[in-house]
Amino acid sequence: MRVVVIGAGVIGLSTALCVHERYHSVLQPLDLEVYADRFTPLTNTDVAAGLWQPYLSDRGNQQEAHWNRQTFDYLLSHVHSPNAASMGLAPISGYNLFHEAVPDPSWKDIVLGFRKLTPRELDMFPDYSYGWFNTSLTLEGRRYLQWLTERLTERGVRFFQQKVESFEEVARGGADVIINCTGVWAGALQPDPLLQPGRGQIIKVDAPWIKHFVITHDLDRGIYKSPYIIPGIQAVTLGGIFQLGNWSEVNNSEDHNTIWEGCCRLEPTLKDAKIVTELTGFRPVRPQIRLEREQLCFGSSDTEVIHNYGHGGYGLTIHWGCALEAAKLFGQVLEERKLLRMPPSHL
Amino acid sequence: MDPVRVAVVGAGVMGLSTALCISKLVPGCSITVISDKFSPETTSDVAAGILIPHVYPDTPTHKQKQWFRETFDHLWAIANSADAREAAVHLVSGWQVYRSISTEVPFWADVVLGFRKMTEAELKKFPQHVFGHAFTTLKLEGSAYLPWLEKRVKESGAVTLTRRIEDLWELQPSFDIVVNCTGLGSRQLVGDLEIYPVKGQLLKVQAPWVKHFIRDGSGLTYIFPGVSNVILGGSRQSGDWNLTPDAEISRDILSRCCALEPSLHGAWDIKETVGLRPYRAGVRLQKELLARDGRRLPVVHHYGHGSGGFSMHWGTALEAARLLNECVQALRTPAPKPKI
Repeated sequence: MRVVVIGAGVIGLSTALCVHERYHSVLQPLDLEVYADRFTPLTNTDVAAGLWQPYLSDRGNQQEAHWNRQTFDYLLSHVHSPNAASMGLAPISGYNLFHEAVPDPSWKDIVLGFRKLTPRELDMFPDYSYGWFNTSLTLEGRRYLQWLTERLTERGVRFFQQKVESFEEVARGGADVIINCTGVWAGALQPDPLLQPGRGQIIKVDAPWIKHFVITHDLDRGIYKSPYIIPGIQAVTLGGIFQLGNWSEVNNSEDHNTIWEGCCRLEPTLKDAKIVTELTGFRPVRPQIRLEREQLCFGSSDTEVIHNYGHGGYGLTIHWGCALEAAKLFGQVLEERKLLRMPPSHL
Repeated sequence: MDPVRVAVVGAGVMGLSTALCISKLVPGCSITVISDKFSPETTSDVAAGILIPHVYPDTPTHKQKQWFRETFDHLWAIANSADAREAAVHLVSGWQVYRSISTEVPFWADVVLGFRKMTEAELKKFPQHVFGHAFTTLKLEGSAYLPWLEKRVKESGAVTLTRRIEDLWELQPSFDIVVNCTGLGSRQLVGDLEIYPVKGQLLKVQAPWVKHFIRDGSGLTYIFPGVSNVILGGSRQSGDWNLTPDAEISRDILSRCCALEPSLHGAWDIKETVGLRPYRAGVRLQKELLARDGRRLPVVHHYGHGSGGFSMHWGTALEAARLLNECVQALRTPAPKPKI
């Protein structure tokens, strides 16, 4: 069985790992390959700040809420490992700030120690009057992708740096199943009017005295358009840009000023922090994630495609739940084709 | 009126902060800080610098709470100011975990931020512990805070002098009042046998992903993330004056800390360091009038903070400055003429 995963961001690599972990022993040979034109550090995952935190409201999407929880639980189970830091994983606590009282988020029981901010804590943030404190997890994109790459390499998964122009090209190359994890670029393989880029720009600084994340919310302006400060494993990510429909991959100086001024106002000690790098990325924005099967016919044979893209600004937050779901869909394909020699092991 | 000449002996956190408090609170003083050791060679440079008080059995609780609150407020103001980076003062959140259930609420619970019991889910992270407290407090780095204090002290007009004082009477007639902040040095300098060393060894490591403090309720094992390193501790060896690190103790500290936080197996650049806590049943904050051969020398004692130096330093320094003010007033009040 030849499986090709297109895309090497967090969705592509984690789906590849999840599928390989579950099916390599029951499906021999399982020839799994990853094709992508961009690998770390050039993916959108590398630009993400890396904090586990879903949107404030799950927009009624119970399935996505479940995948978020599965991801948190999975990461939490690894946080005690001696290798957690090399995975890019660590606990982190911090503040969510608002201009007015808001309902508690649906994920308040997933994170640890969720509570409202006390008046003394709010004194630190004079522009805000309400907020939450909780402990969550940091999962730094670059380190996690490197770790995933190592795990996949150990398993004999091969990587090919190439730009895939069509599903047909991959099918005619012999792939039985294609897992489409092309993120914001999915429209190039199959038009999807629901998918749009949510351009983000971030500044990474050296500020080791900052131990908490600080995320502000401006409910009128919308998500990610208000300053945020998110410490990673080493550097601190400053952000607050979200531009729907903007495909410009170049760092913009006006956006730089917006981020810098907003974050320095929030945390004045940042003024002297040294800038390490500045990056632009595109959140793959979609009303909901496209995670489903599709059968495509090229010539005489059917090719199964499993789509797994459109994770917006919460890809790292939801990735493992989606990988598990994609693996489940893969299992269905195998059952339908009567390819399973024994029941799939549920790891 | 001539300025009152004050000698502050000792340039650890107590000496420097007392000098600063005096410069702010007691007008008409000229201050000289005298010590054989300045940062980075003081006991304060070794200490972890986290604001979690040590309890003094001989001091009333309300007094300890006052000192802690004054210190917390002072450092809170620095953490929220342009000086935060230079002084290396910052907020840090974390957990204090216990091996048995504790119903006691520490006296400082409402001074730190967000103090609460840990949830079941949080305790899962610590399989050997059954109970804990979560809160946010402040931390500083002695090796940055002391130079910051010294700068502020000098800006106020005080001068520093590197010299070892063997006898307080050396300071007469150049000085009118002495403030004794010599920590363990007081054992010899003023003959205080109540003060003794409790040696502490700790490791300063690189592990930048650790953003929370973790402290075992016994106080013996702790992980304190700072600006330039993470501090792992610790040890308590009473009566040991030896400043050489012990390799066996270092291994033991690392092992205990890795049990609390397994990701520390990945820590690198591990440096050992040793300090002697100036242990005393209570902080000595006291005026004394030394007399010899018809001469008099007023002394304000301000030392003996044991494990709790940084947590209480500003509160006790303010009190030392008040005591000094009393001495200054006494000097300025003309002595009543003897009646014949």
